[in-house]
Amino acid sequence: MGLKSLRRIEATKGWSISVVYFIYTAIFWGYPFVWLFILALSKWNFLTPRKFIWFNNFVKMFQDELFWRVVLNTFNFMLYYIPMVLGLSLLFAVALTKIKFFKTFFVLAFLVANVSSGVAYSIIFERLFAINGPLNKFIYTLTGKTIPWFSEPQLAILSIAMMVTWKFIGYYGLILFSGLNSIPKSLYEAAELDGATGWKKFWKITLPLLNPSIVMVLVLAISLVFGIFTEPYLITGGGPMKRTFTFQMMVYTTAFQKLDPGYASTLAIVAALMSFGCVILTRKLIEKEVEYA
Amino acid sequence: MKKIPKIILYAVLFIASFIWIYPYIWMFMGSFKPSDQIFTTFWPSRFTIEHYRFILETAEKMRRPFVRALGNSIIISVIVTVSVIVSSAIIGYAISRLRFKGRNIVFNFIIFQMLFPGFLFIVPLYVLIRALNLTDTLSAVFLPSLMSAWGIFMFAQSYKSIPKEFIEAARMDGARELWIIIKVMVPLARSTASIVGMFTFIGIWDNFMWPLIVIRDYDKMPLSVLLASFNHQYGSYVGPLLAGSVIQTIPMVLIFLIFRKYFLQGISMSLK
Amino acid sequence: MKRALFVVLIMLFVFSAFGKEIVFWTAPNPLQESFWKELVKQWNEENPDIQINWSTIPAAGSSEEAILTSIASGRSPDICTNIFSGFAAQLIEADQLVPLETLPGYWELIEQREMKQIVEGWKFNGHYFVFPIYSNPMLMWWRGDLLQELGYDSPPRTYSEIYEISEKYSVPNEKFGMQVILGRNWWDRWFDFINYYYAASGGNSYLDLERARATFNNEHGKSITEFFYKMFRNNWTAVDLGNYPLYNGVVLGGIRGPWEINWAKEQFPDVFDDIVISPPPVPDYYPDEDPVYTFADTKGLVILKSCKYKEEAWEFLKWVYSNEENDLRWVTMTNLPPARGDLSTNEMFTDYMAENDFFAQYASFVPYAVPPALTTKTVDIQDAMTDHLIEPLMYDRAGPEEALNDIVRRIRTILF
Repeated sequence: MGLKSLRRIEATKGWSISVVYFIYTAIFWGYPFVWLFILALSKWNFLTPRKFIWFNNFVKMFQDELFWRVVLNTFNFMLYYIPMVLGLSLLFAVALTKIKFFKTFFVLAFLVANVSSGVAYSIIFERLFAINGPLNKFIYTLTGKTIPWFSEPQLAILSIAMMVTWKFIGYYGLILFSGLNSIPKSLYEAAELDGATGWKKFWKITLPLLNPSIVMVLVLAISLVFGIFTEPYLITGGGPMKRTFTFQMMVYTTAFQKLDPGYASTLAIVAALMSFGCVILTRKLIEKEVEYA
Repeated sequence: MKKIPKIILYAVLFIASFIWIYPYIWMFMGSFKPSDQIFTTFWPSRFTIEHYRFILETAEKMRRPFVRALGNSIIISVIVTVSVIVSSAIIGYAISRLRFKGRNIVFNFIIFQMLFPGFLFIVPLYVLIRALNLTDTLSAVFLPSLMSAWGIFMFAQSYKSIPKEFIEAARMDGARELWIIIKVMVPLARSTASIVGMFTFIGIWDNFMWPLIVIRDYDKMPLSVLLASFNHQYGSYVGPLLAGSVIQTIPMVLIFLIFRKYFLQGISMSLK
Repeated sequence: MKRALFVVLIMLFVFSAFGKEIVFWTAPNPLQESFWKELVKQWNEENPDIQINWSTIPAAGSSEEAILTSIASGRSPDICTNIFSGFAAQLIEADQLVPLETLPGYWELIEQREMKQIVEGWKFNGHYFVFPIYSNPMLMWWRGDLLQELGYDSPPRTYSEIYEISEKYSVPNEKFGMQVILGRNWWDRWFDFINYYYAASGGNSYLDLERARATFNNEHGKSITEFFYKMFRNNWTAVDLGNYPLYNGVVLGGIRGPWEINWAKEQFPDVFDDIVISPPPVPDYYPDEDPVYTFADTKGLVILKSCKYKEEAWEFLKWVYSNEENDLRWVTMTNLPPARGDLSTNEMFTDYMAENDFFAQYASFVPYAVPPALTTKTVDIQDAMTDHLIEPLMYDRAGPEEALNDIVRRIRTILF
């Protein structure tokens, strides 16, 4: 066989494998992708014929008090979640670099939270944080007070942010840890020769060189916030005062309780756009080129 | 570093680790405590398996088929995991090691796909499943997840680092492409296969929103949805709920503990 | 080819003749489940050609949500219970229900159960789409033992009396006078706000559907919102009371439905004997001698249009509801007063009532129990009540007047 025909056979194989992939993708990705936009421009209730209404769903959204509530909730949630998760996972990562023994144990202890089932851990935390649950019993014996974790509007957001933090510290911590490990030791040694102290080294060397890992964590955390569903759906049902009503909750209730898939698609598109927007903004503001001099 | 701060650091880490595992401990212990002691004691006066019996026997009679749901979850997760590994291994090979016109387009398209978050497609995907008349079937849960752009990408990346001499040597011996993938490529990309498999398994096992939407029939529900609906209707049966949560959690934790080495690799790989 | 087609057709025919299957959904409630389970089993044994495929409404959220998605996905049940009037109206609007009077023997069944008057309340556009099953008055349960300790022999009747005992009993973060609000679900508004409004106004409707507006912007509405506000501001009640507050003595009283009777008897036998039942609280100006009205939690069953074997489905329902024994079993198992006109005269039930004081008390309020307003917007209205009336009062985001005006304005937009 000549080289040419071998090439042709190889190309044919490549194409046929790609075609299989494209057929599958056309059905389960392409079709929904197109329908996403058709729905966003339609009024429909799954039952009666669909009506094309151009951008009415978008107009409706801007006038929808609930939509703005959800936007506010999302940022409110980020305000708690992102500093908390970033700070704690940074602490965790730094602590890991300082120890010699039990490293695997600590890593596993924090990571195992990350593989907890969303449904199961929502059920557990709801009971743990209940007004007569173990946590409040403990607080009551210490202070004589109880904390209404899931029934006070601001606290409910914080509580869910805490749950998600619990879940993700191990994961984000390890990302930061491998970032820390890739910083050359020689840099620190050079700085020490210049008489730099612990804090100064942290600000001048660690933090700037850790930038790619931090950006990575931020991007992951931001995308996560726009996708939260299980925790509020199971624990708070979106309340109190609709403070834990997330984008995904709104998409779900709009599509499957109010039978308005058109408006739900509109909301999903806007949520995705906002998530992109936040990610791009974070990159613009925080990301820096890193050079290991 | 001085000794005392080091001891404090270890102490803090041990306490924090304990707090982090505590929900698991509480869940696990609680599922074996008599109902009236779940909230009141740490170490109960006796241990009992009544909650597990309730979940596995009584709930069956109440038409909450937990055993069946566990079976459904296993079927769905195994199908999806195997399918994703196999399809990713083959397609990843095609777009990284086979030379053909348009290969880069395919590769870029897969990266393009990964940009879109899954939640965008939930409503239109439901429209599709409904049009195919697949609601209330297990297929509705696993069909949309059979192939994964991320999995293909991961395999393609790890194949790229395999020297082409390996492939050529196999070709010289007259090996067929599929044989090359199975015998040469996948063993060399073993850690990628483990990473893809593990993350896929955990993701699909824990998937909640999608099966919640497409499954209404108790007999077809995966464990996550059945557990949630049981929580909604029988929220005061705390013991059985904890037992159910333990059953729901164990496979994920087990897979994680077995493949923990790859979990760490997966994290550093996704950084590149 | 032709022969193959013929064989297939024959097989289809045979299957359809022998394998008639009716999908039947009932309320996800343990007591009702055990009632239906036995009945369905019995029917399936006696009627091998018409099999009932029974399950509870598979809901991880509300029943309505589950039913709507099942319709949207084209896999709706054939018969479904647990339908409240507003939801029925919604299903009728979407043209999903079978008018029951078109089925043979409908009027005979209604006659036999003396339901003529009851079904009139469920009439939509001149048709009877819903077969009401039960009607519950929602009443107050009080801890008689704890009241006695405080020096009261009878439960409080008016808001002022509740303030008085609350002040005596409450300890911040520990104990409270009364559970005023039942929860955050939209249906909880039936049991608290609407229930209190029926009590205060002598059974007047809270909505004027013809003029598309709420009617409770009056002295009754005001006294209820003030009651809520005062209870929360004084810490005489709380948003989160933990599990089983009534039985743990966290509160002295709260609104409960009859479905809790059997459950409480089993779970908290010691406390149960001390429970005293009273009508919902009323404003101080409510005349002593007048009867107090309550909300009627009433649910019915429907046959969906998508049902292939409507007559068979109806046969099954007739078989269930023409047998008084079944009603008695229903009463003993669920304690929900069945929707039939002869509850207080039929010996079958009077005997049971003589032995079961709790059920008798609920049954005695049936004449004063008012069903909810017939609107397709029920969920929207009651969600708005939660968000803009109840929660602002709970968390002190608005005063009583302000919250009342806000919700009335919002209901106007929803209904308009």
